[in-house]
Amino acid sequence: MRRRSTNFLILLLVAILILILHQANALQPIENTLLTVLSPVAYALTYIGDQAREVSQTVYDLAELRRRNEELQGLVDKLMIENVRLKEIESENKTLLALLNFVEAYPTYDYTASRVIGRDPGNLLGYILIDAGRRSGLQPGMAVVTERGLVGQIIYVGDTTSKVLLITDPLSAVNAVLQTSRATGIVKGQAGGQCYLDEIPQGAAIEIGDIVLTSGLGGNFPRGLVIGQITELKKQDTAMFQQAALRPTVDFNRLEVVLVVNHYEQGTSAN
Amino acid sequence: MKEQKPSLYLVLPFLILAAVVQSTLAHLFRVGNVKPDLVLLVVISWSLLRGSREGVVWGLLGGLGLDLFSGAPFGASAVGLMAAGLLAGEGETNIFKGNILLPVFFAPLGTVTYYGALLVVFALIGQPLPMVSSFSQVILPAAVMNAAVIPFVYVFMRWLERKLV
Repeated sequence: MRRRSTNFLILLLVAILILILHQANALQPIENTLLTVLSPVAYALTYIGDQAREVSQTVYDLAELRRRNEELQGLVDKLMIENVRLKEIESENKTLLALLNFVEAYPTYDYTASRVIGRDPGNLLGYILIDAGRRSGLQPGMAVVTERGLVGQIIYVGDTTSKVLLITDPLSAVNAVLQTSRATGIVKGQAGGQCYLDEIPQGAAIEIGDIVLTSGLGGNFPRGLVIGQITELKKQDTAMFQQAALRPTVDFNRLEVVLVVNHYEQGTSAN
Repeated sequence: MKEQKPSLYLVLPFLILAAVVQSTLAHLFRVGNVKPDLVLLVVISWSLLRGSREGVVWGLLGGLGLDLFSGAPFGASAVGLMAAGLLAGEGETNIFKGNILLPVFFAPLGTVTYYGALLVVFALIGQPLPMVSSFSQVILPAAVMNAAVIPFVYVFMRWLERKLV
């Protein structure tokens, strides 16, 4: 017990001595040397400590990030689907609005709106399949239009579907009139999805850019529907009639919704 | 040993599905005036793999499937596809059987045969289609398109044959 007290007393004296020496700046060289030697070790240990803390934080963050990522991915998927749906609705809205404008321009016509559900599977013919048929009151011969102009006419009617002969089909022929000169002709389809205006009287004035409308002759189509625009003249002095290449106003590759004209009054069509 | 054939219960829905795809989606792959004739290429590929006897049956069924959606007289596509299937069946006995270039050779021939038969059918029913423009604007471009597409169809049909037969 006595010896332990002696040791404590000695150590206390040493500590007081060191304190006094430190206050007198007598220990500074030793302190400097020790700090210089130990500082890299301290630095390394601090670095390791920081890294260890970061690693443990990263492990924690990783789990949190994974959970958050899954959450956000789910949200992205949901928003993407929603975005696609809204874009589709916007596109459909535009189409329907354009069709509505057309319907308002021709108020005396009765229409059945119908969706295009198929196309002629081959390359030779120009037909589309629509999702309205006999049950919707459709009959063969009815004109089919969009807001851009004439599409064709119904040639086959099933209970719930109909086949539409496009004006670009090689077997299609539509009585037509030029908007400016009022010269008549027949719009005929061609292999390859083109069409042309045939049987234009030789003396008729015809120019590139002229608008071609349905003439209403023959009774199948209402008068005044836009068919297309003249793009090229094929005049031969020796031939009985003139011909002209025609670019239809309807884009047949992008047809989605069409209007079937169930009934119309010939005299009151827009012209 | 009796040669195994795939059941008609499988073949018929498969060909009708191909016809539906042809009618609804093929136009998305349109280049210029033409789109690939998927059902025709299926029939040609099957004929090359299994011979004209099965090719003609596939042509009949596939053609009737196409005629459901087509504006052509019912049966016209069937006639055209049977003719193409019969022709392509010659490739089954050919020494180059199995070579991927064989379908590339037969696709244009089958295309011309198929559309040629359609033109004949239309002429016979009194609705002749313009021959020259049909060939220059449609049939020849379609032959090129089908030759380019058939390797993919043929490889798939070869895989299907191994699964079905």
